[in-house]
Amino acid sequence: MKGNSLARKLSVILLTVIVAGLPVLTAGCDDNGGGQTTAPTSTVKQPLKIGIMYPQTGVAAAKGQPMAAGVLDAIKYINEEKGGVLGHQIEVISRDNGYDAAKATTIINEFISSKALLFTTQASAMMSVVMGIANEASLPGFTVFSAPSITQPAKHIYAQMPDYGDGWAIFADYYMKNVWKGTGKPKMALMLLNNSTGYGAKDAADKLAATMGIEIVAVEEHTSTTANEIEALTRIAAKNPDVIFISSTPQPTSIIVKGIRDIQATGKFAGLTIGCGHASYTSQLVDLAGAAKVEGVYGVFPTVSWGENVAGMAKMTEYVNKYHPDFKNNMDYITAWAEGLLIAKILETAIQNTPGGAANLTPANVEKYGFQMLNYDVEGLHGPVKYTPGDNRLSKGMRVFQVKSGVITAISNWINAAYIDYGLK
Amino acid sequence: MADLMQFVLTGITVGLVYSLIALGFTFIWKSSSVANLALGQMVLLFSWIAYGTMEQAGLPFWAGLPVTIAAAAGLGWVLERVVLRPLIGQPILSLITVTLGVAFLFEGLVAMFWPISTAAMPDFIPDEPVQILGAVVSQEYLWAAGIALVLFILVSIFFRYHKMGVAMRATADDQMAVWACGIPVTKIFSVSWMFAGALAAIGGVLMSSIGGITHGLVETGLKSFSVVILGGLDSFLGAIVAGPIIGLAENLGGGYLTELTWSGVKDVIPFIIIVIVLFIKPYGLFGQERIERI
Repeated sequence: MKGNSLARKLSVILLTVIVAGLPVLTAGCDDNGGGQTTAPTSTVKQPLKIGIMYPQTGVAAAKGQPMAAGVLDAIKYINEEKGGVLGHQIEVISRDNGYDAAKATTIINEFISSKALLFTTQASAMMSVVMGIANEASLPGFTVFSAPSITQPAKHIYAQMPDYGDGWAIFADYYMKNVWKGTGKPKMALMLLNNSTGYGAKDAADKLAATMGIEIVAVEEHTSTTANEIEALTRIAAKNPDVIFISSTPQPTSIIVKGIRDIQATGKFAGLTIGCGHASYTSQLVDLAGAAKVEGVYGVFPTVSWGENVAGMAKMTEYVNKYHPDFKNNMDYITAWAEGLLIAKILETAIQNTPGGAANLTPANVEKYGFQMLNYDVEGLHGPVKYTPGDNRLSKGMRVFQVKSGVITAISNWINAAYIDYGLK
Repeated sequence: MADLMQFVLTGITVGLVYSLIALGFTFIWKSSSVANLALGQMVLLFSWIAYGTMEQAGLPFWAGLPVTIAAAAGLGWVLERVVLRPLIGQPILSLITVTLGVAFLFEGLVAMFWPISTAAMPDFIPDEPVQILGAVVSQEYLWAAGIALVLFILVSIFFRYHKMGVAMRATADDQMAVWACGIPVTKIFSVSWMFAGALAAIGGVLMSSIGGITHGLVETGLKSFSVVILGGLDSFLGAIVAGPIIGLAENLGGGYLTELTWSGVKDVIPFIIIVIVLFIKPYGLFGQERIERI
């Protein structure tokens, strides 16, 4: 009996340790201590507190892991090598939202109560969840990946890069000018993730397809954890589309592309062009679907590729090799490294332009004198950032890519996405 | 007609993939009456272990798979020995709740050891699709479906004819009575968790070969709960029949109702069917009815 009692006590202790250790375990073991507050190093100047949230766990972890690594590495670089922003260390409250609405809501409230000067999200879906609270509190922020409903009507939330609607518009324009060789209107099918990633592309298609001379013949939604889309693709095949545009994340996109290739074995989908929005068009898509399956697939993406000759490439490559070699060649790391640089530039611009400088920094001043006075080339890593009144997309440039011999290869120059007024209220 | 064939074939094969995962749940329930809420996370973790042995350690598939299955069985044994055994004789809710803790622990282990979060399983199944009566199906699904059927036959035979299988069923029925008869309940629990681990590993490897190793495997595991509920918690036959029913409901419903309703209706249809079935048969299609005199 005594032994039993002891065993029971030990098991209770073990379970307590497991439960207590969960937050630590689920935070991963990032070099930068994801999910922690980065204490500023000793400095005479006040630190600049900001909030960053990312989907490091959960269904979007495929993108969240490299992006968390990228943004925290960039902040580390700014703080340690550049001495912070004009001598002020950036104090980061970094949190994993798990791509979960409830967690994201808790986190945005933490950012507000912690008096963060600005905040960022990486997933449009998470910004969609928290932007109401942030706008209410007048806390400025930006999302790396965006949808039209986030920046329109323009309030306190910005987009680092063109949104999913812009992605569709740029691909459609490129397709019409360079790929479509038929007569009449090409028939397009849309395969959309059932959140802002997919709906953003649909908004643009609804708005522009007719005027661009494209007929939308099918719109299909899927979940982020889909295991099979043959049923939807079978119905799409019956409509004989010329082109399919997929606005989703890498794993569902790989399922869809493999499904298309399977159906093509029956003679359907002959001559089909496949295009992808920028949420899924990364090296992970090639890995998951297999290089042979994605050969020839087009996609849009708003950053440069690894190894391109731009100013910011060397330092970023040094950091990814040193701290996160697993994410070498992952384009999401680039987007998030640029996110870190942009955070620093917004703060720097705000300090330089705010009357009284850093002592008078408030979220309102960071927005007015930082966000809205930006003029930054992001070290060439993506399109230049410049605020245009009424248009909260900070960068507007994208390029079209194609998978050639298993490698995602740029096939166009930078294309600026024109502002599309969706009439959102 | 070709479309109908496509929907049916896809529904059955995808459904059998769900069944494959559901067998692991049923195995634990049938032997210990524990609802293993860590099923999805087990599938995820063992998929990563497979990736570790085959892709990272460089073992060929014929060596990597047995190593993975052995590791999964070993982890199942450790889990039972360290976490569940101290709770023998305790209220069943404690046992179920602790599996929830294990689920979080497993997710943490995955995040700790494989921070890349997504990877492709090494190719071991040919990727040319198979055409059947004008419909097309990926070989990955066919393999998963075939293996699910083979495992169903094996575990059914084991539970019906093997001494250990019979003892497991008796243990699930009344732990204390079995203990009183001198049957080593602890050993039975160990073996059942080892088997469940092995089943989750096989399911994980096959699922990962279809869509890669991603967190989505956890959701697939959760989807298998609906298969278990529909088929009956303690029925292998239920698991193997309910999977295709749900797969067919998804694909036929999605195929013919989407244009009349909304895109995404296919994700709702299986649950409507489950609710209707449970109204009529609360223990599931093949679940054992337990009627107690009070």
